[in-house]
Amino acid sequence: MGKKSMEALTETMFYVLMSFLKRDLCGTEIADFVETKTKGRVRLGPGTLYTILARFEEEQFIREVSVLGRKRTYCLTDKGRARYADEVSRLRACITDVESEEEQA
Amino acid sequence: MSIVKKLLPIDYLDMNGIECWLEDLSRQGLAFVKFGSFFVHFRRGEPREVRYHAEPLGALSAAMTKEQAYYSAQHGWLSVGQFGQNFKLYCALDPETEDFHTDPVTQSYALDNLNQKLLRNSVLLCVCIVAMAALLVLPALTSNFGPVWHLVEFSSPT
Repeated sequence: MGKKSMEALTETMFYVLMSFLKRDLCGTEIADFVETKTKGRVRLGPGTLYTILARFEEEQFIREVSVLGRKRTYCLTDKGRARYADEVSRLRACITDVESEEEQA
Repeated sequence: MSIVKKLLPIDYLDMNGIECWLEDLSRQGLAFVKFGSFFVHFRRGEPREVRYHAEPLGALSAAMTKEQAYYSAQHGWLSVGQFGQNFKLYCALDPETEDFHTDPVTQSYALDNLNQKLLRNSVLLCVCIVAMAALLVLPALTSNFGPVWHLVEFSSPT
């Protein structure tokens, strides 16, 4: 049985990818970024955060850049950046569809 | 400190069942201590309303599991040990603590690893059973007289 492919990112995964756009981050910083960016709308439980990081690392969307004691810092790879861009395009297409539908109504 | 030992009344892979069972016992004053070879050990104390979460092992590296345990503790989920070979058990002393998993799709990734591990074990078990059956049957089939001779030998009056 193969692993599920990540064809569509969930909202949580999308924000985790977004958090790496400007700088390298560790787990706690990612959670803080997502909470601040979404004003608390999207929450990252401990299970969700670390499962996403493990999966992104496996998919080579992120890679570990430093380990300081317990703190592990990750950065976005080119593959991760491309995946983020794909998702943004998909979301933009969704918004365009919504707007065209609203104009017709 | 009195220790109470109980047999697990549910399937050891029933995550939700395990969590509910431990929460029920906590309301009766039994706090989880460890998962022994045959029994689950509890410490008798005051009844408490707590939450348990069983997280499948194997989805994260050892280092990431440690970091997750540290981060979880900061968010109210204390690591209380391992439950069997497949789960790490967390306990939230405040029932209002935010869920351990906030994204069900991501949680399914954690379960994927457990699923694959169990599938591998099942395949290995099947191979072992076939190998053992072959070891028992082949000598009889390949002997000079075969299984019919054995039947004649054992059923003949002496």
